[in-house]
Amino acid sequence: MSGGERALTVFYRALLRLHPAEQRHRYGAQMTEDFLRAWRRAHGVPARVTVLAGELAALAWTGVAERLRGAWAGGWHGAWKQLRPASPRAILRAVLRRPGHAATLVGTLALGLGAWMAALVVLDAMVLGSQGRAEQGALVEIWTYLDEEQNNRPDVAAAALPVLRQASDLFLAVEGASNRRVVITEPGLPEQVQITRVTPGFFDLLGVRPARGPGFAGPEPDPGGVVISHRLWIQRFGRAPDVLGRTLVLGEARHTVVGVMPPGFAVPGFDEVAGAGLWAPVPLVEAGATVNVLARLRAGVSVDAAAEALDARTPELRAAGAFAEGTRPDLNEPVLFGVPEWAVTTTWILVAAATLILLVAATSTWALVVTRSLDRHQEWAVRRSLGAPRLRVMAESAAEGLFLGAAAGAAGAVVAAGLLRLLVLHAPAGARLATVGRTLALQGAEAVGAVLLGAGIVGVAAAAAAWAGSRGQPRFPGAVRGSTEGRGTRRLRAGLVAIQVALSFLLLAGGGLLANSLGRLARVETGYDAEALLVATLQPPGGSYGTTAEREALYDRVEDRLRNDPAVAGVAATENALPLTSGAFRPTLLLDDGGTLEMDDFLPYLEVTPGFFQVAGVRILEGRAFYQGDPVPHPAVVGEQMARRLWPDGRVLGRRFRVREAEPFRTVVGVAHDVVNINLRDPAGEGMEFFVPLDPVGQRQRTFVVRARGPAAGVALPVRRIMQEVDPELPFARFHTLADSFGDSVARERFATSLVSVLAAMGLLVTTLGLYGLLAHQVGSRTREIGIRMSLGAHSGHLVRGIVGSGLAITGVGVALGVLAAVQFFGILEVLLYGVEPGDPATLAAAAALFLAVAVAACLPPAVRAASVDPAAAMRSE
Amino acid sequence: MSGSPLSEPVFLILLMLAEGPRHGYAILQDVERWTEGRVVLRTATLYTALRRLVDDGRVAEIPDPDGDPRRRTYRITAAGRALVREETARLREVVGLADRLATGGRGG
Repeated sequence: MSGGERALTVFYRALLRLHPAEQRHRYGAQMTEDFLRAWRRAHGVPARVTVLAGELAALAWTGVAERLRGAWAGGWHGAWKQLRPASPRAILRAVLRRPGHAATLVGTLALGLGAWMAALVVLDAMVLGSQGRAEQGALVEIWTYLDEEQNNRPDVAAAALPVLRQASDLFLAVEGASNRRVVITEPGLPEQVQITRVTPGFFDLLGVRPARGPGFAGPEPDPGGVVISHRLWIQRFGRAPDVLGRTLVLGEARHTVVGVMPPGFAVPGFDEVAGAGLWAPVPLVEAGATVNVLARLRAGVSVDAAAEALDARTPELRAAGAFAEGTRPDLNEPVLFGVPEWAVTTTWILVAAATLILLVAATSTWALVVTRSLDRHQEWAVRRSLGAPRLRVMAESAAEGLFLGAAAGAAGAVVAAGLLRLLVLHAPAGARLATVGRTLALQGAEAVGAVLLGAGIVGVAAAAAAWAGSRGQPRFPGAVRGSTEGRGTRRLRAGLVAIQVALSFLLLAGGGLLANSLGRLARVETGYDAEALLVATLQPPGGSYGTTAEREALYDRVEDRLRNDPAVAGVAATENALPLTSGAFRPTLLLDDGGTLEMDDFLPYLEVTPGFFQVAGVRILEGRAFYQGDPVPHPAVVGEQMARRLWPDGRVLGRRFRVREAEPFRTVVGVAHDVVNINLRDPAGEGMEFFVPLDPVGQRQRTFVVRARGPAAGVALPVRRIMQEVDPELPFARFHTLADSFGDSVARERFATSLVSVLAAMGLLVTTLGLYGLLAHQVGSRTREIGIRMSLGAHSGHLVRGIVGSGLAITGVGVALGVLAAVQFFGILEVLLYGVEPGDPATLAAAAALFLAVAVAACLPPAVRAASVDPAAAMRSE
Repeated sequence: MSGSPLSEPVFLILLMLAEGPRHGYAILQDVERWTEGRVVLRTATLYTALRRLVDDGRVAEIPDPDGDPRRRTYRITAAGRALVREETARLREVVGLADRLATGGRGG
């Protein structure tokens, strides 16, 4: 036989395995021989190809057909007899014979499925949902472009809305919204909240719907109707199920509740700040009013094409009164409504991490099923020798697997619902507001999907294990035998554990990087005594405090009372809250020597009372703070960075600058230590900022910076009490501690870190259990072998080393794979990292070390058990 | 198996054996020759059908006339001959029907 023929023979025999054993035994040799004859008889390449293809196809097809025919031997009835599920009670009994095993399996898979389902819901809400909406045309904003300045207005005249709607060749829908603050006077205590007034189709445009009630969509929308947020429903109405139709008094006006939005819902760009939203229909045309316009483009109309088309229609739009002379429409992709990039990245990281967890859980589940099947080989073999068809054995095992898997899926749905609830409560506002497409809750169909997926995973594993495991003959006492577990199975299980290690390592290393980065952010120097500062903003109602004098009198009384409170160490006032979030947008700084500095960024500045620097702990490094009746006109204190940028020669005091042509020159009287503006991660203004004296004229609100004698939270109650005592009619002041607001500014980092850390802990746990289970089972099934080796003089220390060594080898392979994958894929974490490289060797090494340590811990109990085997008892154990 | 029409390979195998006992490979070659290459049986098809025919008692295995113990020879049994007759009659009926309908019109 030539080499080629030998290869053909091997191939033919391999395919022959598709045939039932009986066929192979009786005719296999003859078939192979005749096949070779037919092959030899064919001459020429085409004939040989025909023979080969025909032979192999026939071999495969008849093999499969025979197997099916075997299963179908008794027709419908026979097939039913083989495949019919055992009674639910029998399945349950079989499953509960090993309650620990069943619980571990259900728990493991439920964690994996739950995490994964939750991640998919988030993905759908944040990423896929928005893409889905894009298919029906993009969401755009329409601004007013002012030709002269670059100060485009983010809104348009209310009168433009009906005109824009006529451009129905471009837009599917055009809706408007505007917001302002109102005071809820009933029910409950007065509280100032933000109300967003929207056109009736606004929610439809965003693709959202109230969780309760018709909202503004009904056939006859109630003009006095308001839709309330989930939070207001809880706080003001105690979750009353009959909230629809109840009365809400805003100021003096009575409104009817016509809807409750789902938890966590906020209209992007409008409701984030207020936190507690209220939505009311806005009268379309209000003289002089402006609205923010959102439009949905028709499918197939690109943003650029729409912008161009709209621009070309400027004359018509002006003629219709939509835009004033000299202005024109400016169509933009939404700035505020888009899902922020970091939220998209966090979502993908979440999905990746959850997929890893599911894979870890699924491989672990598979390993558990294989382990369990090893214990049942004898049972299956006995049953088969008593006449049960192999298919029947497999069907029974599959039924148990389906049952366990479905239970795991159901538990997973509960886990997913819980995780989503936690997400809604803890996700940073920027992430919540992006989820306008759908609410973060598991839907019924998704829960069913989880059950089916779980049933599928375990059912297939159990069927495969039973099919493979019911091949053998029953063993009889005294028969010669090796270990229960074949080498192939052992390798499979070791491979599964190594994969688990690699996947969990990725999670652990990712969590480590994020935690490392968060730690660095927490150590950023803010420039304030942030821990001691409470920032409270008071916005008095217009009625009793209509004039500047009335308001100043109120502020003085409040400040006086605050200063005399024993818990308060000092009080200063500012026109806006800390940290600095307001200032000049892309200013051109003009210097007294004729120099200019054009800034792309915005330059934060704040009006403060003279005591501010001392109260807030902002150190003056050079010169002095300004004071009451300062002889220098328009004094200013600049930050170090600004001083360096504007006057590199170092002579700063007495120099003058102004932010715009129209403003007076300000004279520098001092240089202050720099402070962090906006947030810890991306301080605005290229690190520059300055402070000027507070000018009370025309300001409708006042912020008090209160320095506490102890922790800042300690003055929260006194501040609230004092404001209520000064005037009981005052709405609640908004206040926060400065430390909290810096903490909030890294909320997204903290959120991503805690997400990944939780998943990493889950992965580590599941992997450790998997490793332990593998080794424990190996030791258990090798008891006899170990006994023999010990009776032949093997040292127990040697045995322990051997078992721990094999555990470490598996872990080592897994960690190596994990490191490779980390180096390859961790680039996606970059957006969330601060001061740490994605491939940070120290973090990867620490994760690897932790894994190896855990591996040793998981190996030790089985190893110790092996070492304490009594040789005599082990020999008798059969 | 009786009652329902035989598949073509099975019928051809029985026909070849009805002519006289043969080795498996000889059946392959004869089928190809008698059908002038129209039907080429594959080994898997042949031996799957043979196993079933043997199990049903239509075909019997006999020792090799040349005395080679590894090679098996097949001969048709009385039940097998009955099946061939039955199938032939069925086919004749079908062919007659086709002749009448195709050439003589309705009712012949």
